[in-house]
Amino acid sequence: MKATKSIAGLCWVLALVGVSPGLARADGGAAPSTTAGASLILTGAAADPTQGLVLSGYSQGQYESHQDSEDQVRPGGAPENQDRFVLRRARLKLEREWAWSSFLLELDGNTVNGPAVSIHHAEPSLVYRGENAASLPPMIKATVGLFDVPFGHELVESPRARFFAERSLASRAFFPSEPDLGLRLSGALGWFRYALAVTNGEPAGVKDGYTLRDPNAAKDLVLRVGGVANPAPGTKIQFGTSVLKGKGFYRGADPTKNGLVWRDFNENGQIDNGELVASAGLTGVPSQSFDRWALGADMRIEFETRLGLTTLFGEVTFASNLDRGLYVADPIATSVDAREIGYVVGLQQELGKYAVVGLRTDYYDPNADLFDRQGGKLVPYRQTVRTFSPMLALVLPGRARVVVQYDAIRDSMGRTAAGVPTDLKNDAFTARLQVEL
Amino acid sequence: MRRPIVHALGALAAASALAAGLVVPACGGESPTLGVDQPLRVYSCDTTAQVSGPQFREGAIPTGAGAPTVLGVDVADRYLLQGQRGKKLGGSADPTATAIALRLADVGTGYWIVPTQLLDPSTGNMTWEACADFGRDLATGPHKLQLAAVAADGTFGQTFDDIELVVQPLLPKGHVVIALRWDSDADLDLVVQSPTGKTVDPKHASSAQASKASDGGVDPSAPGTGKLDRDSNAACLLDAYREEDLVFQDAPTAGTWQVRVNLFAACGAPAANFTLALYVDGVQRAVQPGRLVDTDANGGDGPGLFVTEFAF
Repeated sequence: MKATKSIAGLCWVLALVGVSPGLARADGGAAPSTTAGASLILTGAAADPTQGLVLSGYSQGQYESHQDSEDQVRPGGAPENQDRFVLRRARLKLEREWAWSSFLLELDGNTVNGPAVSIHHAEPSLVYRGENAASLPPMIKATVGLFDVPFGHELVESPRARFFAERSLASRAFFPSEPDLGLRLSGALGWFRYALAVTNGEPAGVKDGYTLRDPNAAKDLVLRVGGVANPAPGTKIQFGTSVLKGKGFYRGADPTKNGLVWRDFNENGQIDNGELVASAGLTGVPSQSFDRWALGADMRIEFETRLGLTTLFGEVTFASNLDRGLYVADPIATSVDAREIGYVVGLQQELGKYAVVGLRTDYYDPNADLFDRQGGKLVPYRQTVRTFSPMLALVLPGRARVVVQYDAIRDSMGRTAAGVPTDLKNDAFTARLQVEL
Repeated sequence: MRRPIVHALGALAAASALAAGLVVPACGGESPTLGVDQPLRVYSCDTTAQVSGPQFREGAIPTGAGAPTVLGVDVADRYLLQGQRGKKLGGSADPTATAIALRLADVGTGYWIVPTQLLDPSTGNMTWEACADFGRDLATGPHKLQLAAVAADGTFGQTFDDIELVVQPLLPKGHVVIALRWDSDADLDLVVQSPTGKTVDPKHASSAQASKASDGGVDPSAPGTGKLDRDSNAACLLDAYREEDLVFQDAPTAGTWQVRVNLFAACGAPAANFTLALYVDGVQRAVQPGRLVDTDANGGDGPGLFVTEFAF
């Protein structure tokens, strides 16, 4: 009775904001790929199970602590302190599917860089379900909008379902955020899964200043083909291979005016003879585009054991000039293509219904061709970052979870006394509470 | 019905214990500090470098007796200002040196490791170079630059401290200085009214009166005249000085000098805490703190906040 009242109340609220609840997806409507856990079906019984307005959401609040925090600010004012409470994600999703079309809108709020609310997904789609059962994705789904780039498994896995706090470092470097704007064709034919997308190539969070815009006409082409198999009862295997081909953008420079420049040649802090230098105005530098590509493979195996569901997963990506979030690739400025490689391997184990433990390790080399001067010699320099992440979660099924995760990060960002690159103290700890709507 | 709750509490306890156990042992690695609070901050002069730059380490430079040794240090000018940035340091060391450790001997809590770069083909010695910033609150006077070369096995060589840097005050030289300093990115202006009624501000930087002798202009070298040295953060173009000084090279014109502080523009800062100080021959004789908030910004349309007056 109480639940009925709540649902009626929600319908009333949605009616107020102009959303008309339709018939419910009672069971097995084509579950959107990024949905996990419980959803709220807004109306009662339905004549057509694929119809209904579904409201779902979740919130992830966390405390995080980083060894490299300092009570200082970076030039520009960004705080160096990272020991803080943060609302990592608060998302609200509306979905509805009809016989030939579907609609999905997801809003995201967070305080990662201060309070922000944005559209995370907007997926208007045409759907041809064919003979596919309601438990399967449609045979063909054509979407034009804002959707997760279908490269690998990590990128399209919902943060709501994922137990580890964030995606692996390589995945975050290649795709600072999951969604991009474009056209996607996806679907299922039996065990076979496919997704082909044409996107702007400027996903949310990229550091070139063109987030969800497109500074060049070239589009990124992304293809993922794979499958889902159930070779034995309680066992599920998901696998796929992905390809990305596109063009990055090198931003030119504006023309400059004539000017005077003070060069303090003798470093005495005073203007002396010969230290005022004319700086003639220059024409602008034209912008350029550069090629980038990525090739990836992913596999995920789930099987039931006495303890509960065991999940083994792994993903590897080889790429060129694709880093857009961490060590941003700029082959125009450096005259050298950046060869990148990243992989992640992990194990996740349910301990009954109420707990999950996991261990994940990931590796990222943002530039396989880097050199450093050591002792007067040019030697290969490894910029690799390897992360070991043990994780523990306490779960209230379908409702809430508490996750604690430690990220032991091993990199080469420090220097030993001898000047040799070595690990920097920058491990991180995250304690997160997730509650689902 | 109670069992799930018991299991849940047990799992929570286990999770907490494991989390605590994971957090406590901080693993190895070098200090991640940027050294922003150090009086000497060292970084790579190559702003396009993709590899990690100099490394800060806490403590004194380990003492060594022998090789490798620092052979020389190149500094364009051993005199520098408090808060000076981008000073180039470099030098040479034994060919076996892979890094140079350096610090100011008497201040700071640690030292910097700078990797060596190239063998100089003409001398056969190893070279190194780095850029350095100096703290605004670095004590004036001489400070020894202490260096040591480090070998590939981490052995520190003999300490080299033949170079003395002399830090000069940011405060300009003069017989009398009225100094305004503040702590935010706001555009504050020092406004001083002379005994003759002339208002000195960034648009009228001298206290001298217009006279026939100077064709209706002012003679900034007239006796008793004060000159404003700069308009800091003018038009919100931030210069990091956050200081304006009225400087008298001789005794100011006799009478009462009224001092105001005007918030021209807040430049996005919520407030500015300021200090007004009077120096005579470099010695602080009076100090008056104050605070202006962003709603006090007037774009120069007001007289500013009266702070104090000085009689000479």
